[in-house]
Amino acid sequence: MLRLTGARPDELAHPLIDPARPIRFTLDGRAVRGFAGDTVLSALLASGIHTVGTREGHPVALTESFAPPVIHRGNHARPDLAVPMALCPAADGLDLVTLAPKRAPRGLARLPLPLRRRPPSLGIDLDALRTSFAPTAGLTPDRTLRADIAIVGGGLAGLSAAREAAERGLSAVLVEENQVLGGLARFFGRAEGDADPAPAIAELVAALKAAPNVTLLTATRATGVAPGRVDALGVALDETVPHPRRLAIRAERIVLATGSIEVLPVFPGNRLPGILLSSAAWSLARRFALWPGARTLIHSSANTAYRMALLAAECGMTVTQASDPRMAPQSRFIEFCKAYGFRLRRGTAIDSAAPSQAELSLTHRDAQTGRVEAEPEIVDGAFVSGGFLPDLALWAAAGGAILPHPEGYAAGSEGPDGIALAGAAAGFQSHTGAMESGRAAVARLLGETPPAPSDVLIDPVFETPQALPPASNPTAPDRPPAYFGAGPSLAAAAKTQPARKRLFRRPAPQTAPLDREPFALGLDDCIGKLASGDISADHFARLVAERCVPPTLLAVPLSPADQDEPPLAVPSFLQRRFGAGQQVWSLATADGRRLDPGALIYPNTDRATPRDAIGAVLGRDPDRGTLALLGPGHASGDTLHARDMAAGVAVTLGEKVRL
Amino acid sequence: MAASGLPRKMTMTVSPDRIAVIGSSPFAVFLSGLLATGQTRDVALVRDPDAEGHLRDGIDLGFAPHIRPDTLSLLARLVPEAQRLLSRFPVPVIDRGDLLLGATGHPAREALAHMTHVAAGFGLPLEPMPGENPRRVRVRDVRRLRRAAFLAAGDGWLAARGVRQVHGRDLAGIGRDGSATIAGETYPLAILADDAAALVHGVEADLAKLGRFVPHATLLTEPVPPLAITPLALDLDSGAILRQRASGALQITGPFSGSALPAGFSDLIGQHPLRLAGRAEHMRFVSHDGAPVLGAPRRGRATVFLGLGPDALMFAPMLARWIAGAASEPEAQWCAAHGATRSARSPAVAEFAPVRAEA
Repeated sequence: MLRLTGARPDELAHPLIDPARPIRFTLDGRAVRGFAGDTVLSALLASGIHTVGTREGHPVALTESFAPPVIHRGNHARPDLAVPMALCPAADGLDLVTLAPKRAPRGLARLPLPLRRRPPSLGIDLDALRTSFAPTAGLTPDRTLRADIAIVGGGLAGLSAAREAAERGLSAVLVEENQVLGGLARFFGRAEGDADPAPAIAELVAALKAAPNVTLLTATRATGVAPGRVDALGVALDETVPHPRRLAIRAERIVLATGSIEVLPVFPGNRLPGILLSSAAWSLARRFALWPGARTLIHSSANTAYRMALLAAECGMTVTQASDPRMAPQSRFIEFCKAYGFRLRRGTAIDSAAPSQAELSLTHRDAQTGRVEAEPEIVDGAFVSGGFLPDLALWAAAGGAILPHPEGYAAGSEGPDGIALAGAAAGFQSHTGAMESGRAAVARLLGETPPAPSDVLIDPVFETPQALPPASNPTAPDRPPAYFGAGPSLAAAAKTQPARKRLFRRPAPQTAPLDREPFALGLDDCIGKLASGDISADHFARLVAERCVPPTLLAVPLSPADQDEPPLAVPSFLQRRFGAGQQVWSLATADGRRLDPGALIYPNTDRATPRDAIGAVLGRDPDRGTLALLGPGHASGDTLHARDMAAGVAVTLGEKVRL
Repeated sequence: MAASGLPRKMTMTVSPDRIAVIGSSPFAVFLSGLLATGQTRDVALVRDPDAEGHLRDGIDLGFAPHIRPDTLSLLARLVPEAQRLLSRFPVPVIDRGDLLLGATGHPAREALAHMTHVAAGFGLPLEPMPGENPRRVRVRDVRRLRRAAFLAAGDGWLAARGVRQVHGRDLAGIGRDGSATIAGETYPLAILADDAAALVHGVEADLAKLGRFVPHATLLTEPVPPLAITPLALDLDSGAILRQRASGALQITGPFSGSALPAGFSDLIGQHPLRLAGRAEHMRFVSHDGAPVLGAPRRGRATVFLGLGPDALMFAPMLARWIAGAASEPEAQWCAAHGATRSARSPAVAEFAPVRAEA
């Protein structure tokens, strides 16, 4: 990726980095350069390291939603001290390593580094990955905060909720994963009649920073939510050693203002380096002045993504085309694109992507007929979008219901106790709606019945509703995987089997989905499965409930120590086993051998199966020796035959015993 | 009476031509197909459409830890028959592997000792492992259903046998006479063929004297290194089953809640941390005497097949015959002894019950 310099639109003109303060650190022994204000991840991307590793022989992009955890080199034996690189500030002198299996270098890669180019990859063997990159949830917190209300999400809705709480005299803790507050409000732009997000965010942030009863925690990711509790993870730098900062926020009331997630269009190669979700690209550009390359294209079934074309133009970057699987999308952003003279292609989907030298080769197809275009588009990067849906991952993990509908899904009306949704997570689309819903969520949690928030919606005639991206074609074995989502699960569509194998033998069953997808799924994975036809709407809610779980640690208690054996008794499973009149007898073997419990007793050596057994050894009594349960009709001194697994032995009955 | 205490001759007298099998489990699917072909019945299978990728609530094996010789004797004949029938699926649906039975507490160790001797007496390849606590026995070469492949191929298999598949929402209800009404058509015999179906159709009260529904969970973990000894283990103390999938992930089903697994698996898993990758909760019928419950309860409506355990699938051919009135005498005796009208703790059929229903 390159750094944006020079003239930029206002929303991208104030990144967090300070180009006047360069820094240098090492990761896996490799020097990485960046600027003060970078995270470890943004510095890596700026240094040209854009690949995590390979899966099925194909590279997978390094992104904020898919990056291996890092740890101080000296702490590599303490995986609990690993931190997400997207939350870890970059600093001079860091000496970090990644915790993931590395692929052994082959061929020229075995040459010492001075003799070859450094690969743009962290070299992780994603086929051998056994632990997902998602941080472990539910670990013992380092610190517990208590507040009247906890708010997850620092966008307009979350900020408004915090302000409402502050104005009511309640203490509030707000956690926001990003380094800056405001969320994606400015990315979505402003509709006529809607609030202007930039001044609204500035005013809210200023008010909250001045409020004594509000704690704002940026660069802090909520990892789990349950009634009364929010678990969160941040990173603290102890000079040059990063440490996880695990927080538990205890609050009777919780507002989930988690915003939206962007759907990844499902096509082979959709996670190759250079392909970015439009909102993720905007966020990287805004905070770190990162841009995927001079020549990019846009592919979207949502209107907002077209803003990236306008921003590219204002930054002096080239956008070669903007394709859209919808047949006649209408949007003010599309009109602006027309005015800029961009090449717009309707009814067109991406068929596949493949690496091409240092660039990206994208092949398009007709979204209706499926006809694949002969000439691929060669670009440095691509902004893609399959639309935006409420981010209900934490809501679902807390037990909230999710209801699918033809355009995606929405939260069910019933939710966990003391937890309310606000903003885009609650289905509001406008800035006005987000702010009002944030305030209303606080009121509802306090037992009030606030007026329904007003949402400023644009007539579909002017803004065509987003559509879930069309189903991708089956993935051929030699193509890169078609991932369902952008996160750590790496869940991907099943590949077709080579046809020739079927000629000679019965087809082997495909690998079970649970084996293809051994990590917890994200909500985006589930919607990707739905959009691409991998699951039906009937199964969506169940899949979310089962597989969108926080990766908590399971406890396996040690086996209890040996306990004193209780006195012998006839267990319930032996009731009437040998008839109604069965009795307990003491017995002795002819050779003094001890018989194990369960050894079967037969009238003689002729009988063949356990159905013919007339008794079974119960065990050894300290006073009376070996005891056995026998059917009726025996007498003291009788000689019978015991079979203890493969060994047979004669036994003599002693006396009847009452247990 | 036979030495086992079972009645000599009891047969299923109801043998209608039209049968509704209600359930989504592999057992329900298999039973439907067998009733349609082997017993030439007009069968409707009422099930919620399954999908690949869901955590399923059990595992289907060709072995389960029975103590009663009648059951093991029956199973010895039924397993090859079920395998032969399953081999007709268009894809391989059976594989084989070793199963580890483990017991830690005294009741489970005692039960393991008895079942080991009975199973060995039938020539089953059991191999006691060294060590006293937990006590362990390896069962060699156990058949195991590939559930995903079975259910994926199930639609075609059922269609080829003329089984009508019906979505659960199309079932109008089950009448007092034990019939089912589906889209205006009456099926004189309704069979509730798995726990979920039985729970949905309200037989809990009818079966209260015989057992109860107990919360179970199926957990999926992220992949871990290969387990010690075998990739498949059954903890007798809890009844939990652990299976290491091809990916290395562990799938554990048992009567537990929260995030604590049975202690009996601890030394199999070792010190490797287990991270959750999926979780499903479900209810399972557990009888008071640990034995299956077959047929119509005394005051119940539908016929139930419940509590059959991990080897339920193996019993499907026999139960299809029993429903059709074509079971052999030993089969009919066994089914009658396990009938849903038996007393609460039937001494003739009691097995070791890991989860005590009254607990």
